[in-house]
Amino acid sequence: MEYLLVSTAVAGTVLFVAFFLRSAREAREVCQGSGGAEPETGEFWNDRARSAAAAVSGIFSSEDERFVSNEAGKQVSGLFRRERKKLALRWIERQKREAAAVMSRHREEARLATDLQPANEVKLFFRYVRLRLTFGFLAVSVWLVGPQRLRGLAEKANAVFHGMRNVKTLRGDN
Amino acid sequence: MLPADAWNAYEDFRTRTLSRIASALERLIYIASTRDYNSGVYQHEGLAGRFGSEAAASALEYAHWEVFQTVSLLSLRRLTEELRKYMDSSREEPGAFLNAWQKLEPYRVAVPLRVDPTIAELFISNIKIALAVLRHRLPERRDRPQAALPPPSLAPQSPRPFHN
Repeated sequence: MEYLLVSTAVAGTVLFVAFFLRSAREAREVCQGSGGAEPETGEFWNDRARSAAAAVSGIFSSEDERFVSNEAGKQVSGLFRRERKKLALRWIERQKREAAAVMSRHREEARLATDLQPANEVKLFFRYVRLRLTFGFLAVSVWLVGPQRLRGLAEKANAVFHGMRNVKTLRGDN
Repeated sequence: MLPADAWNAYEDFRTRTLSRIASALERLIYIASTRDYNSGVYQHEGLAGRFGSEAAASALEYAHWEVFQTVSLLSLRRLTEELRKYMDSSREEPGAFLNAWQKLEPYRVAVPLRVDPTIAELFISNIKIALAVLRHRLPERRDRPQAALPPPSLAPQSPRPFHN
């Protein structure tokens, strides 16, 4: 009996990890395909903070979920959940890639900087680690329960991410 | 933002054309229809005549981006309502309209060339879900097998929503 329970638990864990990794890989592949070149700054369509905040509230909205479950049947609700989960995982993957790119650019600049402030560098590093952990946790949670109950966490992660993008503030003024 | 001449063209376009279109989805589809599929360049004779073709193209691109953001961020309830109104105004039979939109996905051409990819995905996803909700609302016929798409008509049934 115990053997059966342990085997079931192991099999369940393996399946969970396999399916999660598969979803994450799909999201990563789509993001790599649609990523493209780094956009020029200052253009109207590149209002990233606004776009990202709006996207978060749209993807993680529970109002939409209520509407679909009230207005349509199980089939449409299933479609809604699949679509939202896919969007959320892709968004998380994009944020992770952008955060890594910001850190990479910052490392390049830091190598040449003469006024480097170690305390701020450490602060930035910990902010990055926290962000990666948050996005990791968010991805697993989205995969398990869907994005609708995670809006607060997503908005928090998004705010940390946009704070981190402003690396110059950390180096100079903060 | 936009250069002064493009901004003037945008203001002109917004007040003289866009303001006469009641629904955000119709505005989006109209602006997308001014874009050349092959080059991605926006063309509008009236605006180009008054402000120059470059300023007109920039103004239309900006207007497209702005309206696209608005439509993409509508709640599903409002988007579904917008889509229903658009479907009604097309004068197509709802089943045929939904077949065409679900199979051909013509709404994909409404996505601006330069836009945040997450917003673009949200738009496409929301339209898919809104179409599914409208299909679900279709009385009785929704459970029957889908009919094939109707053959293309030489005389367009859907009126161009806007005239310049």
